[in-house]
Parts: sequence; C-alpha cells; structure tokens
Amino acid sequence: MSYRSPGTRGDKPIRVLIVDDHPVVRDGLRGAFGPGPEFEVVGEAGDGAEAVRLARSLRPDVVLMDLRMPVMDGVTAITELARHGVAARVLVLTTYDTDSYVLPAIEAGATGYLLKDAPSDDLLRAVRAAAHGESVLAPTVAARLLSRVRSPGQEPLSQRELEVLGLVAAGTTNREAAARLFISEATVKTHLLHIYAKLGVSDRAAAVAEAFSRGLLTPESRNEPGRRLFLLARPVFGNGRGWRERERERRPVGAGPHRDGAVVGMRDASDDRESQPRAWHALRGGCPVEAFEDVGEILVGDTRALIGD
Amino acid sequence: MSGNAWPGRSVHALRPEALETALLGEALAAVADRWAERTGVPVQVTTTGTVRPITPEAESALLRTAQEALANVAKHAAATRVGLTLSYLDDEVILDVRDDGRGFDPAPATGAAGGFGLVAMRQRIEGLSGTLDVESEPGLGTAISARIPIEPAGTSAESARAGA
Repeated sequence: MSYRSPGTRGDKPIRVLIVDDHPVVRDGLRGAFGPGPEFEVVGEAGDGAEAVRLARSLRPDVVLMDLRMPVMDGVTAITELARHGVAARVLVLTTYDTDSYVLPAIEAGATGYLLKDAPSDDLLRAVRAAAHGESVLAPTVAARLLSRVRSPGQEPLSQRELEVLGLVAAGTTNREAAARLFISEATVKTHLLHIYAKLGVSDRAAAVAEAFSRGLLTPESRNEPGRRLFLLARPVFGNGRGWRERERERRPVGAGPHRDGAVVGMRDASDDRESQPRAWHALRGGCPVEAFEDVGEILVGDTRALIGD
Repeated sequence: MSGNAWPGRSVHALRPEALETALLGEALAAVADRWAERTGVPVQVTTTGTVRPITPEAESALLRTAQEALANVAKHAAATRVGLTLSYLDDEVILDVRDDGRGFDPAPATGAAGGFGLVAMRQRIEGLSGTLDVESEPGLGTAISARIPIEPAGTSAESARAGA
C-alpha cells in the first residue's frame, strides 16, 4: 500500500483537485485555499469523468469530490480513481449526509466526508488530514455510520431465536425445527425472518455464519460427531446434474476437505459473491456442522458422503 | 366431549374471567390445564420473547383460537401430546397450537378445514389484521398458527427479553 504524506515533505504544498459541477462552488473553494503556500489548487473538474482524467494526469494529493454531478457521479469517479490506482485521497464534499450517499462513497474509497456547510477552517483541516491519509468525517456522517454499523445487530436475539438459529446451524430444516420445538413451520419461518433482520443478513447460511462470527453460537453447542458444516448453493444455471457433482466441480483451490474432514461450501460467484467469504468465515470460526442454503432451497446431508471421492 | 360441544358453552364461559385477572399467557395456561384435565392429554404451554400487554381484542382472539384449536384436537386428533406456544416478537404475537395426532389433509381448504371451524377462527384473526396458518398432514399431527400484529416492543436496551 502506498502511503503518500505530502504534508510532511518539507514545504511542498498540498496539491488539490476541486471537483464540482457548479462553477460558483469551485470558485468559492479555490478562494478558501487562499494564496498561501500550504495548498495548491492544481485543477478543477465539472464532472466525475473529467475528475478522473485530471487526477490521472495532474496527480493531486487530495481530490475534493462532489457527489451529484452530470456525466459521471462522484461515487463512480471515486471507484474509477481506485481502479486506476490513483493515489490521491478523496475527500467528499457534498450537501448530502444520507445513507444512500455516505455509504457508497466510503465503500468506494473516500478518505473523508464533509458537508458543504462546514466552515472553511474545518475544510482546510480536513484536506490537511486527508493528505496524510487520515479519515475525516463530518460529525453527522460519523454518527450515521456508527448507527448504521450498530443498527443491524443492536437488537439482541431472543432465547427462542437463538434456539431456532442453533437448529438451523445444525442443518435442521424448517420442518424439522418446527417438529423439534413443537410449533408450526410458519412460526419457525417468522422467527427466521426476524433473525435475518436482526443480524442484517438475507439467508440462513449467512445467518449461521454471522451468528458464529458474533459468538452467538459456539461450535461446541451443537457439535455432533460425523456431521460437518457446509454451505452450498445450487447453481442458478442448471443442466440436470446433481449438487454433489456440482460441488466437486466447483470446489476452489484450497477449499477441499477441511482438516477435520469438514467440507466447505460455496456458492457460485455468479450467484452471490458475498456468501463465499462468509462461508469461510464460518469455517474459520470452527463451525463444524452442516447447513446449506440455496436461495430458498435447503440441502441436508452428511458431508463425508459429499467429499468421499 | 359431545359432538356439538365446540365451540360450546364452556368456551364462552372461560373467556372473560380467564382474561380479567391474568395475562394472556396465564389465561392460556389455565385453559390448557382444564383441557388437559378433561381430556387426559398433556398440554405443554410455552411463552417466548418479551411478554407485554396487547390489546384486549387481540388477547381475546388468541384465547378463543386456543380454545377452539384445543377443542378440535379433542374432537378429531386423537393426540397424545399438545403444545401451546405463545411467542412475543418485535411486532407481532403468535399463538401456535400443535398436536401429534392423526392430522388431516388441509389441501381442500374449504372442506375438512372449513368443517373444523377453521373458517371462523381465521376470520377472527384476520379481523385483527392477523393471519392464520394451518399445517397438517395425515398421520403427522396438526399445527395452527395465529399471528396478530402488535405495537413494536420498546427499543430501549433495558427492555429485557424473557427467555423461552
């Protein structure tokens, strides 16, 4: 990882690229940096595409990026900058602090997120910090991020939800779980939906993985000899072969039988890119059992049969 | 139980007094106890989630549902075991009545299901914006699930969650 810290390189100014579709705003920002030696505005862009072009040629230290712009929006531009390996730090400067703007920008690689109503002192401080690679978040944005991080998991699972989750982690189908708890399958499903919402996941495989990574379930809690975890998804494309064949075929390098005989499960990359790391996470967490989920379909079995080739 | 006892006099008689002094869970337990005594079939009553007040209409509807479901079990199921589960979720309360009796084929929903008084049961629950699910299979018992939406639970951390 390259780490440029231009602010510490003697007296060289911090090179700033201003990106905003409003000329008046650009002028104002340029004015805020003043004539002093600390900052140098090396360029201005009126949209994301121009910003990417200029950033690649001008090599600024910090890009001040608006989000809503014609031609190419700010988030796309940030993504493009990262894709091109542009080392500049991106400081988002926008009027919006809603989730739909903040999170994608941060995910795309923005170093900081300021609102346009920030005093110019704050702005200069933020640019300085961004040039050093420090994260700068407007307080409302920071609060939003924190609540976002907390909200999916803040609500604790009830005892009954933990029971349901434990059964699911043990590879139990809804029907079996219902029989075990002596309730209706409909209620098991309802519990599951609440569990998903609380864990911020959308399927049972992810719920199991999340529960393990949060320590809500421990491997010992349902370690049944001879049964092993795997998370498996049927491919969305099909040619009539069974899932075992598919699983063998798709087993990625290094994903073979776990050292204790466990399998691994996986989804097609085309199906859900996120769940594979989750599966691994579950395995690393020592999850020893069998839980499978396809989008809507559950396969249960002893994984030793699966890896018996 | 005589053929037309359900939903008969005893059912009506139980309703107000059972709820007057007790929480729904306790009222259900009282109903279950009496039913078990009468039929000789054990009933396990379970309450899960955070118990909290719900509207008298919802309480009444769930109690009636439990009574009618139990009456059905007594009449048709030849069960050896019944589970009555009251689940308080964040935004709904669910009553499950499950038995291990002979079950039936719920597919012709207006046939057997209607004949078992499920239509009235469903209407009562749906009248409170709830849903009634009936799961059954010949030989594999029956589960009735009545869900009624309720006010969301307090979001404060101190709203402790009661265990199962």
